[in-house]
Amino acid sequence: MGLESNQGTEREEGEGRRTRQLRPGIFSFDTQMPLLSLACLAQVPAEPRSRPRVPHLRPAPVDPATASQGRRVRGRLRFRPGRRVSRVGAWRTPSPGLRPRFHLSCPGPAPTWLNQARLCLADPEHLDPGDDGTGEEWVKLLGALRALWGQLPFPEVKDVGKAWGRGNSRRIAKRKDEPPPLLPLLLLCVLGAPQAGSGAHTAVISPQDPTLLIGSSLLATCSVHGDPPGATAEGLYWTLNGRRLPPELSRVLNASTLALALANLNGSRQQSGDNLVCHARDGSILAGSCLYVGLPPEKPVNISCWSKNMKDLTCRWTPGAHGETFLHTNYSLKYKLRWYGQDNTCEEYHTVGPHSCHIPKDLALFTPYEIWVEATNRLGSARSDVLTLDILDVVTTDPPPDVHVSRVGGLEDQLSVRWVSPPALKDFLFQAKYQIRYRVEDSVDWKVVDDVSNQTSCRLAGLKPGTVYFVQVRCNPFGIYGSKKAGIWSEWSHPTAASTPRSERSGPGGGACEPRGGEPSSGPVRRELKQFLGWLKKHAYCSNLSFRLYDQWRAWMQKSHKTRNQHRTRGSCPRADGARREVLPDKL
Amino acid sequence: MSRREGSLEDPQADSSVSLLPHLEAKIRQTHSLAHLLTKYAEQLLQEYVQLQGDPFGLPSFSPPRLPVAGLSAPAPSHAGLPVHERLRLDAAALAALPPLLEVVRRHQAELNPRAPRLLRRLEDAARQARALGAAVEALLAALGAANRGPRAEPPAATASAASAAGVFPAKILGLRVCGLYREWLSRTEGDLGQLLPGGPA
Repeated sequence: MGLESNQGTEREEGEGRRTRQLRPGIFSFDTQMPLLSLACLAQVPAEPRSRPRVPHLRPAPVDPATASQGRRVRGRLRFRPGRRVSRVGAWRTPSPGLRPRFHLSCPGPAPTWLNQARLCLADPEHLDPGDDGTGEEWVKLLGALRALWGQLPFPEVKDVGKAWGRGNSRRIAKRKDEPPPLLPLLLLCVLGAPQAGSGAHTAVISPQDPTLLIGSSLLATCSVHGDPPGATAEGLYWTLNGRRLPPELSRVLNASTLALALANLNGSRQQSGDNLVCHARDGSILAGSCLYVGLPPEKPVNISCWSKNMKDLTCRWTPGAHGETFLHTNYSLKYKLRWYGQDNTCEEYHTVGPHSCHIPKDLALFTPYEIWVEATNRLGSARSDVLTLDILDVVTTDPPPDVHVSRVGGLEDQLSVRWVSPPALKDFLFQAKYQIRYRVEDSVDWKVVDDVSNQTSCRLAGLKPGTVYFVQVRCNPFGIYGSKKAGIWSEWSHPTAASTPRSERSGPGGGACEPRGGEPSSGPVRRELKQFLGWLKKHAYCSNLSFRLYDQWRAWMQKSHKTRNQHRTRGSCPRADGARREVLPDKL
Repeated sequence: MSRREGSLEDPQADSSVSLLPHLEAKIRQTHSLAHLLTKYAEQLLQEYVQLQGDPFGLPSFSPPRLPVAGLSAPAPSHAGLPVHERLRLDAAALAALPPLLEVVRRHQAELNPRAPRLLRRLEDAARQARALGAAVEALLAALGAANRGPRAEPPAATASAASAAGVFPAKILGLRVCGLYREWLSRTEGDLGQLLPGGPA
């Protein structure tokens, strides 16, 4: 709030009245009160046939886009040369989100003596502090004006009734039974509530524990009282979160009250509130108030839900786009049957992360649910879009149990994987899909075998001999009860490890020194085979044995392997019944 | 307490011989418990001040030492009292702490709802204070120094006054209670230590 000082000089008039001469200049202030008027009573020199110069109150230039939202409600100008004049104006402020500014200017150079500044609310409803904070605005504005004009006599709230005539007085009178009228509140926040004391001075900070938007301003007061009386605001100072605030932000309002003006507040440092403390001269704590500065919650987004085995529902969501609100934001997951039923609230939160909730009881199938999330904090609330789903369309299951991985006879490059259908859904999984992934022991790269059709075994081929592999399996119970949705994959099963057989010429002691590239039969194996064939020709009656035949056999083997591997690596896995029997070509 | 300790009121036992080892074991056990809980109380206090924000955690922070209903800090004269009297005061303080810790836990559940560890520590502290208080009273009974007559019920701690006064006073109250908890645990540990063999008592 603008506090450009224009204190001018003071003079005494008769009967103890004091007036203050305004220096030429502008005092500006802004407020959020919807209706405001400021009456300035001033005395101007008696100069006939001259245009009197009076303090002028006008709205400050505002954003042209919003200027049309403000309108002048009432205003009149009276002046009598040589006598007190007044200028009264009232303007309706734009919507509460905007902060209009008013300029009180003093024309110069002729002296203009300001006798009284009267601040009036045209709409008595705003005498009540209410939830819209206009009561606080009233207090803030009073504080600002007092700070500016020092000891000028200032009207009490009761003058408001006089200012606005009988009609409004009746309305004001009617509110005596309403929540505390502004006058006692005003006194309360200025004088402070008495506390049980032991002779020491205590104080009250106003406002207590306010909630504010980031970037907004705050005017606070610390009012000291004590027993014996004589408490003084002299020497008081403020700290915020333990840091002493610059003295220029503070101003002594009266003998026992110190005001503080903070502008452009940052988000609260901790969710329990920023600690604003009023200290005595010796550093002792007199009073404290916690500030909650933040943002209203954004609409939660990305709600996703799944049901484990058709028995429950777990949902997860993401907070709104801006994320951090600096205030504790409470999320509540709500759900109801779409066509009937009342709203229900989820109760088990943080089950799979900070923004998740679990509904454990049995839910209806074949009928849609509506699910949404409400976010609430001190500054407001927001509701997500509604997600509509049928439990059967979001079913997942536990991972397949009993995953076994074993060798396929002596085949160096193959492993057989077997598992069991998830027992919770085994009676319903007519079209389940499975996926297998495997990796070498010391690698982080998984290879995935897709589209393992509705079966519970598969053979992995093209593996490296003498290598340990980790294998996992997961299941997607799509099509359950005729659902057309894609289904939700389960978690991966626990890794199961197995090793492929070593190559025959892996070296003494089982060392892994053999090059792994190329054909498995290259190098030492082939050399040994050649020696064996040579020996056979000499000592056996297999004259037709030759490498050519061996190569033909290998080609035949690889061809049959290749056919199977194409199916396996591209997402289909033929059913394997036990070990595969290998048939050698007739000619050898 | 271990079952092996048996019953202190076993008429079959030779009280002058068999009671002493049992009593000594009980004193040691209670002293160890107090020692452990003192460390937990220190951790609770540290976590509490951290979550309230500065200046609560600053070394220069000197909050007003407001009186807490039903419990005061150990008096300077406490150390000069006979050990039995000191233990009686310790037990009384430990009995008064649980409702105050519960009040603090309720405040913090509103101020710091996303601090489950602090809330759990406060809940545990109330239980532990109760357990240690009961152990100290059992020791006093075994020593024949138990309070005669009905035990005064600790006054029900009222949270409403602190809540109505504002968040900052509620934070101060919590700091005060956690501080008193630590002080009394430390005092109890010291007083029990004087009962151990080799101690001044």
